[in-house]
Amino acid sequence: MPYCSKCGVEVDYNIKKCPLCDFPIPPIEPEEKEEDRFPSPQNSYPNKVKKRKRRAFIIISVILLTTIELMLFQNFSIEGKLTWSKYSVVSIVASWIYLFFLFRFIPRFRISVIGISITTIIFLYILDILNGRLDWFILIGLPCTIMGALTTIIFAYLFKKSKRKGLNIVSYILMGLTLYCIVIEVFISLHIRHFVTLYWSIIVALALLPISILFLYLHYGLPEKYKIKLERKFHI
Amino acid sequence: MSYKRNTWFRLDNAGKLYPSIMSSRVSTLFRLSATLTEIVNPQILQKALDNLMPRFPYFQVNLRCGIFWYYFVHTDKLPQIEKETFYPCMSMEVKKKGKFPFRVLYYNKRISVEFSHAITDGTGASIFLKSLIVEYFRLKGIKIKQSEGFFNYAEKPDNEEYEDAFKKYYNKKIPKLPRKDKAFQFPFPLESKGIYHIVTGIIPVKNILKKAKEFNVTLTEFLLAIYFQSILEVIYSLPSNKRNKLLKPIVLNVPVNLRGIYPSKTMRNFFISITPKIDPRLGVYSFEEIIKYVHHFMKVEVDKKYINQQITMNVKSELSIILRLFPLVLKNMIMPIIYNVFAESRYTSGFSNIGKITMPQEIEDYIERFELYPPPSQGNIIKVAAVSYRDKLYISFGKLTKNKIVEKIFFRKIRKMNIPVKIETN
Repeated sequence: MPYCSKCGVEVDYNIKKCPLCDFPIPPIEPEEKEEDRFPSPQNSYPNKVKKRKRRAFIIISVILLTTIELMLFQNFSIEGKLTWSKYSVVSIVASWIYLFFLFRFIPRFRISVIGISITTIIFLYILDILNGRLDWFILIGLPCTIMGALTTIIFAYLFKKSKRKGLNIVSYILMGLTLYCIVIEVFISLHIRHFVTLYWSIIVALALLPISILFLYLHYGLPEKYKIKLERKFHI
Repeated sequence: MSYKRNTWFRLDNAGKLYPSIMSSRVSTLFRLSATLTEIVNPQILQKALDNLMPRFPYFQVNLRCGIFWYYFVHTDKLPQIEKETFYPCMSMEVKKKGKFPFRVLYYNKRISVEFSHAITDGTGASIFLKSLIVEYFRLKGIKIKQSEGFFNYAEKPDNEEYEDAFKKYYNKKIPKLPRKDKAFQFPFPLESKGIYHIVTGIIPVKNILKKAKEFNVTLTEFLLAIYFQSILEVIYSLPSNKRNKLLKPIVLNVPVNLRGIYPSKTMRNFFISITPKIDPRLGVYSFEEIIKYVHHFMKVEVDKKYINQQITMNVKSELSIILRLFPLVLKNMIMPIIYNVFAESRYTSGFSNIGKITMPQEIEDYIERFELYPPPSQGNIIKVAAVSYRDKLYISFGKLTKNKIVEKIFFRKIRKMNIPVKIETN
């Protein structure tokens, strides 16, 4: 009979690792064939969730489609041509695509973020072009979206990398926000004044960066040397 | 309450809670299974179940929503046996239309029944499973004399088997119990939904009973003491900063079958939990100290007066008009929270021993073993259930986590007493 040499307990013949301590157990041929005690178990939960998600998405899609039809019909029947409904239809189609990503039909996070950004870019482009010419898309819409996607992906990477999650995550979020604000202001000032001046994003940075550094410090701690020094100075 | 067609009945006092706290992790199902010495024949098993159901009309029911409470309503449909495919005690939606509050499963040599705690407790399930096996072998042509512990398919059900025995034996005048402290909880990560791990240790009854006799305690007390000591060691093995944060008394939830204390024949829930407690903040306990404490605690608490106080408290809170008037929708939202704060967080884990199962002599040799799996619980992610049959004791850990340290320490301890242990897992 096979035994775990670490725990001293007997185990079944077909077991490769001790069920208690994962210690490897050498293969031993059974004297007579044993029947399995358990089926290789199925977990019905993920399937159930998938089914429910799909059903919800279909219902939402039908509702959105109906709204689009209603709006087109009403706009056309009253004004004889399509005016305001162009904007609302584009928005509804965009939100439908967003929902597709938010429902996590594509499980990879990074691909979802890229998909959402591309949707946003196309959506903004269409909104801008609807009145005949591009006003703000190239200088504001496009860079802000790309920047947003980039900061999200960087944040997700840091989130995944950090083993102990806590205040460091808050710190990363604050840093990301600061970075994002600076970039936005650069492009806005470029658009309005045609040269770069920074004002409000500096205020944001001054407020958030010290806090995020403090959080990082609180999370990862101080080297022992400084700890002793501080304790010496401030002990009560 | 007598049995008629289209009749309904209320959930019993202990069962009332369970449908409201059901979720994809907390299935409220526990399993009792018997492994035969031969492959199970599904046709005969189905026939046996069909024959048996009229004897257990209170299980041939569906759970339904009322405005204020859930209730069971009788159904003419017969439950179908299923081939086991899922994790134990998982993936059954008791609340879905047309579902029974239990199921009968088979796999190779094994017959299992999984009951929702809403309908009955371990004793009810064991009588049902025993009757099913007896009927199975009767259909296979083995003559079995009627004896204690199982029902014959041809008998008439007794009305007393329907009763909510809690209500029968409660006493209005008894004062409330003081509230309990929060208990230590295992700091292990939860497993994904729908997965339940079972680790069973098989131990010769003779050896462990002999060891328990050396300390002059019962088997349950002895196992409880080992479990307490194992949890203490788990606590001491945690890194010190984590340990200080988590350090709270260890409280075990030990259900006691009340049919031995009150003369009830009920087939529905009739148990009370008693809660031995060891506080690691007070110092280091030796095994002798733990055993002494557990032994005397059980002597004091398994007492009709104390137990009646608990029954009374439970029934009183059920009878409170405020609770009753809450619509079921609200109850379903609030109960899981209340259950977590006032019940689950007061316990570290559960340990139930339904004791020795005996089968009629004629078929004893056809059955290899019985096993009991505890219901999964999100507050107490590890629970233990034990049952013994013939010369073996089967202790099963039901876990909603991958972590293995608790059962590792537990079974290694038994092994170190020079008692052979065999480990199986799903």
